[in-house]
Amino acid sequence: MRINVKNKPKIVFSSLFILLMISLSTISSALPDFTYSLSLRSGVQVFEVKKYDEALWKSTVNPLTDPSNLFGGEANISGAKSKLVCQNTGGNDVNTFSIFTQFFFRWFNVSYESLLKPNGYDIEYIDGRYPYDTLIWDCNFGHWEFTTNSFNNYANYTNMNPGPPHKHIINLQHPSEFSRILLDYNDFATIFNNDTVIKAANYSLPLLNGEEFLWQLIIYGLIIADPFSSYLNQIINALDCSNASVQGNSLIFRRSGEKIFIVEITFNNLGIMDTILMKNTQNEVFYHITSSYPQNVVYIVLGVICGATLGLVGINVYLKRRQKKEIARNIK
Amino acid sequence: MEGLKKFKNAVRPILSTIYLELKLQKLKFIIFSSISIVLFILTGVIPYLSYIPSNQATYLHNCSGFYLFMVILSIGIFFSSIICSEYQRKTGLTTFPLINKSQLIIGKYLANYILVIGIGIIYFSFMVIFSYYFYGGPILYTILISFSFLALYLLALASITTFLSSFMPSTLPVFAIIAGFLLMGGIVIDPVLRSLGANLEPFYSISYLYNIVSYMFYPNFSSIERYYERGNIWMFPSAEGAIIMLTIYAIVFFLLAYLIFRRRQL
Repeated sequence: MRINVKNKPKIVFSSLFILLMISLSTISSALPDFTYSLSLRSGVQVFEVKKYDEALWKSTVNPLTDPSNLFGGEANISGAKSKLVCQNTGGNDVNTFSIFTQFFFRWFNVSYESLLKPNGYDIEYIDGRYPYDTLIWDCNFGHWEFTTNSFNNYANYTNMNPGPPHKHIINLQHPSEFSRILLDYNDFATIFNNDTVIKAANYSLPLLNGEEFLWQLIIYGLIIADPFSSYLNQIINALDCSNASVQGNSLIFRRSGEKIFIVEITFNNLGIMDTILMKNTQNEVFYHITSSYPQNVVYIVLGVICGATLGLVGINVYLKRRQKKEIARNIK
Repeated sequence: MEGLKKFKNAVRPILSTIYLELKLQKLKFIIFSSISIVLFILTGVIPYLSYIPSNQATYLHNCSGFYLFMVILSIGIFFSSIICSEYQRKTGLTTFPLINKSQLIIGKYLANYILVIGIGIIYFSFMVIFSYYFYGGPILYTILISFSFLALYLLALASITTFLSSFMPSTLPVFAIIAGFLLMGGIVIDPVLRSLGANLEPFYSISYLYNIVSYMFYPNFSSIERYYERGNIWMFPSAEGAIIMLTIYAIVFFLLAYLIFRRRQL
């Protein structure tokens, strides 16, 4: 094949451009993550169970469970509401024991004092075996479970500072680290389950695959960082979830219970779950949670106040002008 | 019938005074309302965008703490000139006065009290709006109780300022004394009493009495410890104690101001 001399610079530039693109993509994939930022800020979010089709849930998910097993409180009643108040967030660098505690030990009710420590699985053991530091975001919430009554703002004031039940959620600053954490946990769970003392106590830790890990994260309250779709994609890739996909700010998850069903989780602009939609393969929705934001009411109220103030000032100015004109006319 | 007519004749000048005073102080009211809104945004909104306390009551408690500054300013500005301005302007030299001294002082006192309460309502409304913004509903009913105490507190402080205004030559010293009394009173008197070993509840301190307003937001108010033996520190008065003391302050100082005003030649 002959190359036209006139086209030579074009070909050289095109090749260079392609080479540059390939090298850039290689470098970017080799880097752990690019920087994510947490959009979460203090404020309140109210969740509401919009729809619950019990028959469809039983025939699709599990005949022995209902939404309250997943989402707590009265999540199995349409119209029940739950409230999440974000109190503060912060960045932190934590060891593996803290990560295990925040994720797995809490999910599976593993007691440190009565089970792990007496059997030699203490902080030193876990951090010695998995000596990694993980960058996380700490998010502290006040959390009211799903209820059909109004939220009790008067409970738990045993002294001045305590308030509503507290919920602590962490999320990783580098989502690619989810895979290492899962590997470490499964390694630990294998050692723990093979321990003769633990076996004798008839206790075991479940081994998790990526999808189960992601599902647990979602159930407890997954918070994502900005840019959201990239963060979600990176979690899915890190956990090798073939049944999950990302569409914009939504995570679509295929789960199997009695039958296969689809869970769609949409995240809001703060990175918190906004809606949760569960439907069967025939697109029949059997469970739906939506969110509302009291802040929007405040914006309306403030808008009305500003409007009314401006209106009053306007009327005042108009009346004064008219008065001045009348006086001038009378003088004439 | 005769009595009713007399009553109407007595009340009409008071209402006219209130109306006139409200009109005269309109601009001050607008300025102070704007200042209180700005103060609230600076102290009750901006610092809480990244961090809020664990409960609504603590948020309201913190916000109302800053309102003491507005209380000093508004009481000082609205009440410090209530009587001494009459001497300064020599209104007593009016040949045919349309109103007597009692009606004048009551009218002016009530009008300024309405304005100061108005500023308080604006500040507390913003507190309610933003506590809803950060914590959602339901809003704590204790806000109403706290506001009732604020109203009583303002009444007491208004009486003290009116009393000072009744014998002071001009507005400035009244303002300086009331501000100093509020800000420095506790700081100066408390250590002296503590060094003497006295374990008195500091009802004499009007800044201590203000603590009832900010602690009243807690639904468990009655069970919160009021006195810390270690350090000999009183945190806030009891509801009953505050009601009694504030009522005494309000009545006694207003009566004293009224008596001085009546006896003194304008």
